[in-house]
Amino acid sequence: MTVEHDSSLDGTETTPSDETESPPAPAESARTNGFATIKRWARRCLARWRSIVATLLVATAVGVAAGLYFVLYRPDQRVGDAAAHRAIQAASDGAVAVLSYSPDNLDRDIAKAKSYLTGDFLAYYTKFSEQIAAMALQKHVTETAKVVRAALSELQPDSAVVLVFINQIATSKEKPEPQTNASIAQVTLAKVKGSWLISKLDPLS
Amino acid sequence: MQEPQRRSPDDSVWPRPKVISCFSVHDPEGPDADHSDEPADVTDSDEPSPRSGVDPGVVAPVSEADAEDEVARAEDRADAARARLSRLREAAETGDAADDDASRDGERRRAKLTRARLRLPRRPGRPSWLRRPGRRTIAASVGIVLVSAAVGASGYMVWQHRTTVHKRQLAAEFSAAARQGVTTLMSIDANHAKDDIQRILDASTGDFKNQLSAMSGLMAMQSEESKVSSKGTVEAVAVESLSDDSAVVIVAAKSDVTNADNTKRPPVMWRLSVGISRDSGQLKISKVDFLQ
Repeated sequence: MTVEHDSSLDGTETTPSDETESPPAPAESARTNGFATIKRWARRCLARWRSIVATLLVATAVGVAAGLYFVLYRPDQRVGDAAAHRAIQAASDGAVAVLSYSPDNLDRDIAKAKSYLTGDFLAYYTKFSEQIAAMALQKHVTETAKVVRAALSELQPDSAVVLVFINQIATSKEKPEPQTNASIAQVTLAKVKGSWLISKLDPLS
Repeated sequence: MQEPQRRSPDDSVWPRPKVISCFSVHDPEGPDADHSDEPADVTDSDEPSPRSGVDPGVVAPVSEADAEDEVARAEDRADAARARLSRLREAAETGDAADDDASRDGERRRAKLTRARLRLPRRPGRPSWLRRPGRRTIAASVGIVLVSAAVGASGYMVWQHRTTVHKRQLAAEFSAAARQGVTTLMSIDANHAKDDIQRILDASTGDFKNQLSAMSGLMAMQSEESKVSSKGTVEAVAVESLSDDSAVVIVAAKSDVTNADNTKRPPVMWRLSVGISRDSGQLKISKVDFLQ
């Protein structure tokens, strides 16, 4: 009972004070709140504006770097010093392989030479190697090639021309003492599956 | 929650519950702390009033009725509490949900107040540099790292590109000079040998020029007497090594020699290694090796 009275009393005690205080409060705070919210909104917008600019800056910098990588760096790498070195190496090794053979292990020599070749020159060599093999076996000819100098004439992303100076030493049954023959080869390379292969070998003489 | 305890003394005393209620009002963490400044309290006023109107008549006579009434009252109170809860929730969501800064500020202030009232010692704060960095700080530092990495990489790539382009230009320049120089070097016409040899001297520099100029008189005389002319053609050039001011170029050259009786000798291929140097802005031959 008293609890009821108490609670009702409590209620009546609190409610008038609430009623007198609360109604003017929203009206007043609405005005000040309006300014405050505008100010807060503007501040937040400013903060967000800054972060938007920062994000754009980061994105632009990263985008420019990525663009440069694909437009400048990668094509440059394909004609850079490392690529040139690899082309020269492939041309030298290939020329030596094509021009060196001995009757003892002809099949292996020819197979090795073929691994450096591609395209028309591979077809030509495949046809020609039978004659070489026959001659080498018949006359017992041993050819050993050595690269004297080699340098790059031209380098494109997918093709290269290498000038190779070669000394060929030949021995045969008829001429047992080694005979040296100086020759020049202009080796044209093509890039096949990321590695340089000889597509043309022009002897200059 | 505290109602059952309050009810046990029932009619006996007035002031005790009041004291309890006072306590409950003052409790800062209790629900009263919130509703004291909310308009939600208004509804409280109309709920007790019908109850207080009914109370004196019903409660006095029968205990059974009293029990039923208590149940009803409890239900009423539960309803009121639920209503208030939903209203509070609504208010929290709509009114001040957006500006959590303000509410957090208020919370902090309230926490401080309670701490002060309870005379709790302030928690010993960690030094600022030990505290875990905020999300903003992390984002900013990641951004800075990204931007500087991107700018550095871009600079490196542009520099690399310029170097490559410059090298290719140099290579083209030096191979053209070698081609021209070797052609000049291997071409001596018996009819105007002196002019040709002077041209060779003009195209060379350094020790090579000194050696040539020492022999030039003899060479001119020989070629004029023998009436043997030679004509050089460059078949291929390749740049072996390169710097800004000098290069080594290998050259495959063919020389066609014409005898005095106008007969031609078979052409000969030459393998040359030619050094080219920049001499007062012009590229000239500084060394020639015939490789045999």
